[in-house]
Amino acid sequence: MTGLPPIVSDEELTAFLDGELPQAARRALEARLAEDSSLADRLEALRRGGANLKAGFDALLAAAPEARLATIFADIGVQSRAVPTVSAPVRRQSRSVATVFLRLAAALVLFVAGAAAGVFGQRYWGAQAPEPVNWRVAVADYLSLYTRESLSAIPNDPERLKEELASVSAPLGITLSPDEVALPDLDLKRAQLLRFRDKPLVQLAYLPADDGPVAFCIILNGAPDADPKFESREGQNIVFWSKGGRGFLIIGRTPRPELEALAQRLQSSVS
Amino acid sequence: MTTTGHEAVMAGLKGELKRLWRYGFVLSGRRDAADDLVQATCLRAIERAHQFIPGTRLDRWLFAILRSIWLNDIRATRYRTGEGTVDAETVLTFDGASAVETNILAGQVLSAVNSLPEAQRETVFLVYGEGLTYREAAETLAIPIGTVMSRLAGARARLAGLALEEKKREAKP
Repeated sequence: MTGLPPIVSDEELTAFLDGELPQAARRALEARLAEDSSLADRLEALRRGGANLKAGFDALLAAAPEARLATIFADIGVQSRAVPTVSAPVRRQSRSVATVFLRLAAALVLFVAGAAAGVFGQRYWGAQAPEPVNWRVAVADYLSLYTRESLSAIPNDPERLKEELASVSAPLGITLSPDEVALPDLDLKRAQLLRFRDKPLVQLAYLPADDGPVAFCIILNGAPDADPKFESREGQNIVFWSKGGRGFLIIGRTPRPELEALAQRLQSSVS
Repeated sequence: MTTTGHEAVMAGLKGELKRLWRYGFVLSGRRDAADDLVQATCLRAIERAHQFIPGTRLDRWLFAILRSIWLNDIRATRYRTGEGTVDAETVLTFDGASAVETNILAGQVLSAVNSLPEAQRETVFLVYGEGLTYREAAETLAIPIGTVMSRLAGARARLAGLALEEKKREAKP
């Protein structure tokens, strides 16, 4: 063969390194590399340039803010999953989808308290109110989207909680203090004011040492007084009662006896 | 009856959040933008879930959504006003306390990757981070395979140059 051999491009060398060269081209290049040290040097430089990239990206994946993403996801999931019930009501006829939508629609109402979602959610909800939804269903749905990580990222901050409690409990016509709502072995993480069917609903979220989130909720619904009852929804246990025109419930994966003990405690401390 | 697109998206979306965030971070170089991208991607994915074909790759479908949001909405309007302002090493320290200590090398690599032009950075990520073949990367980015190759080669050459400079700096007392 006469004349200069064809110039090997960086692209070709890169494809060689990445195992993307067809076999024939690969063999030819290997032969060239064995004879041409400057070509081998170029290959080595490109190899160095690509070194540790996988490790870098793996580290970035490990650094992704898992807890924050779970919270973002929980919040969005609730907001948007109800949309298809409105835009495509026909779909609700199909079996499991219908139940999913119903549950999510319930969760939507609860979430509507979020400022951004407020107008959006109420408009749709008002436009097409589906089957009646028990507030406990809504709470259970909302909580079922939460994991430990959703709450564990929130730092324990007694001062902030004290303020949150005072501001969220005002619409209920009561004043909740940290002592009243304190529960043994549970960290109170957050107090939120939500809204269910135009009624103020407060959710206090607790994180146990080694179990899923527990929530204590109060709604101002004018219901007649009722003694505590127990039920299970969404794999979660609930104890609920009414007093003074307010509905109360405590919900979590906590076993029934312990949950009932917590309910009893709250019953006597909060009224 | 098989699952619908909607069911498939609902079932799989949560498991893809971290990878979506990583893609968002690679594109934007910013934590807040990456958060926003994940959020917007989830919303759009749920809206369009009926368009997803069960049995196809959910991750690729989500990546395409995230990418389109980045190109059409977020990049144009809100971010990247100060190009390359983020020190990629900081992202490794924020969540895991001492991640950077165990990941000095990874941090350096990410800093270098972050200095690449966006097109190269994204291609490098898809091929070397996500393990796409050249053909898959070309389809994802809607570019010819030759362009994928030239971006990767350009990125490798530049990263090799940066590594060399780093070495020289370290060699000096």
